[in-house]
Amino acid sequence: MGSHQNDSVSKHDQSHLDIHHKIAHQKELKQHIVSFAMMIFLTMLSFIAVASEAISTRFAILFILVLAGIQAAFQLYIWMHLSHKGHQYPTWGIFFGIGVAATCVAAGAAMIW
Amino acid sequence: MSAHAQKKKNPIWDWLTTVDHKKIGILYLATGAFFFLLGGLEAILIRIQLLYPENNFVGAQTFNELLTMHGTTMIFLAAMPLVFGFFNAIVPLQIGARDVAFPFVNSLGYWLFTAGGIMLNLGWFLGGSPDAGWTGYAPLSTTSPGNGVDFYVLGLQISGIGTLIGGINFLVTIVNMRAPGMTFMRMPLFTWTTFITSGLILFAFPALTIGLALLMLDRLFGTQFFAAEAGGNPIIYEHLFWIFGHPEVYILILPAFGIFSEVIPVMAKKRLFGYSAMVFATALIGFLGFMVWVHHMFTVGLGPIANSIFAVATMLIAVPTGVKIFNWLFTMWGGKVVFTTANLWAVGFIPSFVLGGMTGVMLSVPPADYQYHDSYFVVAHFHYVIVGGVVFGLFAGMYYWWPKIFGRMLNETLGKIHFWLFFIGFHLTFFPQHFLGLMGMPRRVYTYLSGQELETANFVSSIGAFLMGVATIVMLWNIIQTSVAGKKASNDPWDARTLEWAISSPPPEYNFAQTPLVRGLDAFWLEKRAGNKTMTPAEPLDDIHMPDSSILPFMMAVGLFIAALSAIYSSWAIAIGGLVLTFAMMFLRSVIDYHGYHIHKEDLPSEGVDGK
Ligand SMILES: [Cu+2]
Repeated sequence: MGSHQNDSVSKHDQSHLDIHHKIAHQKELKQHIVSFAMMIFLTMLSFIAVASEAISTRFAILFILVLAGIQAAFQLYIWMHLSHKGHQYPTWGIFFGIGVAATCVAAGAAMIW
Repeated sequence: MSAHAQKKKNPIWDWLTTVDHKKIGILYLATGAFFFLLGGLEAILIRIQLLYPENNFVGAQTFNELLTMHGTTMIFLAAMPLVFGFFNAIVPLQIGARDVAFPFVNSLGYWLFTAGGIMLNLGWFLGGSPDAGWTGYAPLSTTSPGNGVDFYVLGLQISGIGTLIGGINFLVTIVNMRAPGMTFMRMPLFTWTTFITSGLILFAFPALTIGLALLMLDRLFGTQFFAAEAGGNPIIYEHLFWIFGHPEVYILILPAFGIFSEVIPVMAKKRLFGYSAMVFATALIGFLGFMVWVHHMFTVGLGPIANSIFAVATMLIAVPTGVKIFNWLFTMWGGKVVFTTANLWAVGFIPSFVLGGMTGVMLSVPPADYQYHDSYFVVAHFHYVIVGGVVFGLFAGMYYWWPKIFGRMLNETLGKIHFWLFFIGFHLTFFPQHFLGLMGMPRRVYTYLSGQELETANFVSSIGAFLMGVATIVMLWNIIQTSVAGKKASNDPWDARTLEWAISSPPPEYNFAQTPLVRGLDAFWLEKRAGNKTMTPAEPLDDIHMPDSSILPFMMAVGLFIAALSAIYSSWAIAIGGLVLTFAMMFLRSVIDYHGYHIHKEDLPSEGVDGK
């Protein structure tokens, strides 16, 4: 609920907090650059998988699906800040939803004749 | 209560436009009660038909329609809104909130549900009701002639949207609107079960939406999703229906569990035994509820591996359910138990529901299920859990919360007569059906032959149903009599434990003049033990912001209703008109600013103790 309890901190604490914010911010900037590069790299890989004659179609489909999963994780955690504080409910919702949907799809694929 | 002089509104307009969760709760309860009576009437007609062998009270076709509508009405139009009625009437009070998170959406949910409920019942007047069973299995439902099943498909679709947004609303409300100090592990169990139930609604209803959408495409637009002769697959419908259908059972029973967990401690003057185990069991039941749906499909022929996996998962659910049963028993153990009517329902629930649970475990064994499947044994089983569990829970909640919701006490003597007649009638009706099933009587068949030893049990079963009917008349008399000449209810008639009892009965429209500070589980009980008459406020007295009422939700539901009804009769121009109406209302909602209004602190009754 109320996560902003530091509105009455002293000047000293404030500058202290600022430094922490700066460090956290720089760390995040680095994460963003790395993930941006990774995402472009993964996208290139999937294009190569489709274009290349050496890779079979079956494998290419599976491979791209796995890459898509990784991309979705990057998107959610790095760009949509799911890892930040206060996102537990969306996280729970998303993963429970994925779980239910995956169970149903897997069951459907395995059991429907 | 006329301290703040608001201009007097036309009462009908007021009810159509209200966004107050307490009024919406009453609307849900009233609509649910109406459909409960309707579904009960259908049940009585069914039992009259089955009173004697080869009876011809209603024909086979009418019987199919009665049976379909009895199931659909009781699940979707009676139990669901009654559950939502209690969510609305009680949960915001229990968490110390002034309203739900989205009052407008709340009202929209109610009106969509009502539009769907009316649509479902139109068949009675328009040449034939749905007749493919409450499950609406394809291809029976896709090939059923007439418009009956169309009413089923579109009615359920519209009311399903209402339920879904209602569930989302309560998730957000419970996450965001709890009073200061009310951590998750200090929430009353009814709030907990509401929370888990809302999660189940969020994840289960989309499967129904998809199933119904495909059914609609097959019936109205000539697709062949479920037509085996055209390469479709009817088994997909069964999967989709039960992926929704099994969680739906828990959507109904968990709130009932929550009600019992409120009533039993209050009436035993003890705190709930094993609170955290109760919370964990509720969450576990909700979680496991998603991986057992195939137990409804053991005889489809999915193979021994699939059947075994789902059988074991089903049996697992007996564990957390057993934990709950024992916790209720231990709560009563050593308590000063008062047998008020509410508590009678709670105590009567335990043996009844355990019986239903036992037959549930029997049904979860696939080889045995081949014997029980589609027989009266199944009918007995699910009525034991749904009537013995859900309906008893709703009655317990009704007698317990009636004073809070309506400000008047129900008559306890009439209440006890209601309980005993209903309890005896219930067991008379459904206990013999176990044996009818074991003797081979199939469910959903409009008659049976004489000389097969099915007569006595069927006769007893029908007499039991009539007794339940008489019990319901006693309940209605109780409601009418006490609303005319009933005793006014005090704030806290049961010496209860949770926040809703700290405010007046019925609560003022803003619920809490000052948001209460919660210092532990059973917050109000703690304050009472500390010698306080009311909750300690968490904030100074200030102006209270209230949401504006709005006619838009009602109009949106009307638009969808028109669209669906015209689509059934292929009047596409009117159907598009209905959709345009709905979207126009959505547009208005987006562009008009609703600022709400304030109740000024000078206008609040002094002391805010009991709103007098
Ligand atoms: Cu089930």
